[in-house]
Amino acid sequence: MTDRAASPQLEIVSHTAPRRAANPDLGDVPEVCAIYDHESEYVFRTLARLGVTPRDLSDAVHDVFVVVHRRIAEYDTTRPVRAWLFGIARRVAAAHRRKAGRETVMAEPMSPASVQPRVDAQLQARDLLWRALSSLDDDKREAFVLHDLEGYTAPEVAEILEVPVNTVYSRVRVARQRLSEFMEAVRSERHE
Amino acid sequence: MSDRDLPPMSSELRSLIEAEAGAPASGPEDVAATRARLLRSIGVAGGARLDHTSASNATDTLAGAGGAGLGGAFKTLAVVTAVAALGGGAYLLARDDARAARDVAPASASSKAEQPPIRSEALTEPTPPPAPDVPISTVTAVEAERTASTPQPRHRPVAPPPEANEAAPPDEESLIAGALAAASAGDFATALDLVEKHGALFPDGAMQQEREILWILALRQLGRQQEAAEREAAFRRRHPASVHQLDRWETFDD
Repeated sequence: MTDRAASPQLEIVSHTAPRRAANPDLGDVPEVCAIYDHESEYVFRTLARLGVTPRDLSDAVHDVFVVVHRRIAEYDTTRPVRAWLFGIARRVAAAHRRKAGRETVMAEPMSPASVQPRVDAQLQARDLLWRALSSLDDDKREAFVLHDLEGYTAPEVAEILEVPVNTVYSRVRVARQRLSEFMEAVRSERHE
Repeated sequence: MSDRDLPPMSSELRSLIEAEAGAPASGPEDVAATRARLLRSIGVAGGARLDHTSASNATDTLAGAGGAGLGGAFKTLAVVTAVAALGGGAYLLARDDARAARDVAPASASSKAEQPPIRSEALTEPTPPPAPDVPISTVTAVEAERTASTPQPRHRPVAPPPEANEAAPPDEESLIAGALAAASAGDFATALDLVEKHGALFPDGAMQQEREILWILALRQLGRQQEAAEREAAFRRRHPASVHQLDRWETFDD
């Protein structure tokens, strides 16, 4: 299952009837709110997949949308909004990872506190995948998330990450191998 | 090289991916709290300074004068809305919780049908001037933005000005109360402006019914009968059983 099918584009509404001028003092805030209301779950998920710790997740989401607000005039409305959000999220995630440090990422439980009480098999699987992803290098994790979790084709991933297509294949291949090794290690630990 | 050259995913990894896609990534409290914090940051930075004076005056107007000076129709509306807007935190909290719960996307977030397109009217309008340096709570956003774009000046202010941090965010209650106060004073243009802000910021907000009633009233008072009638029809369709409607609605026709 991938997320890509769920990615909407901003729908531009043409005005055929006269209307009052928009509130000039609100600027782009309504647009940012609209994107937040539709895409906050995606941004939370993407940041977690990209290795942001639960402790920092809300901060990181906030930071993504602050950047969205600043850069919304540059958004190309012909492109899926999620591709644009991913580009911002990966940089915010990188900054948060640098701040948190890799050791902390691996040591913390991965469930946000607010959903911790609802732990079930799905959440355990989610946490295990996020932990497995955090064991990857940044470049391989990003390629894997886009290609195998979000369903983009390799050429599309190459465009988003601004790398050659063969580099994408190489990173996805290594990511799959390392994730399989991680899973094997987890299985071994459970049996010990 | 192509997808066929990639090693196949193990069934274990594949099932893990499917399970992860079906599990929520955030809780409703996180989503709501982050949204409120975001509004504090960008609302102030974007110039969305709301008229809190008129909002706070709503309390005085209603409590002190009991709606004195209002016509019979608006007096009824004032009572209805005052209960909603000023009647206490419990009401707002309860409805905000419900809204927050709705805000959280379905667990899988995978069906296009579940996610209607984002309607973004203002994007068709001239781009407003760039926002000034906004308050950002963490260094990372500034850092991320700098690496995401062309080089920027190194000495970019990071710490927000104190007054910006302390500014109240635009919230539902203030907007509706401000609109009510403006309408009470006969300033229906301001009332309309405030309900439009509410509609833009909180389209599915807890006080949307109060907003719509004020909106229709303001349009009528401004002589925009056709728009008022269209809005009223839409309200009746959307809220056929609204408590604001049946016994109180007709007073608008006074």
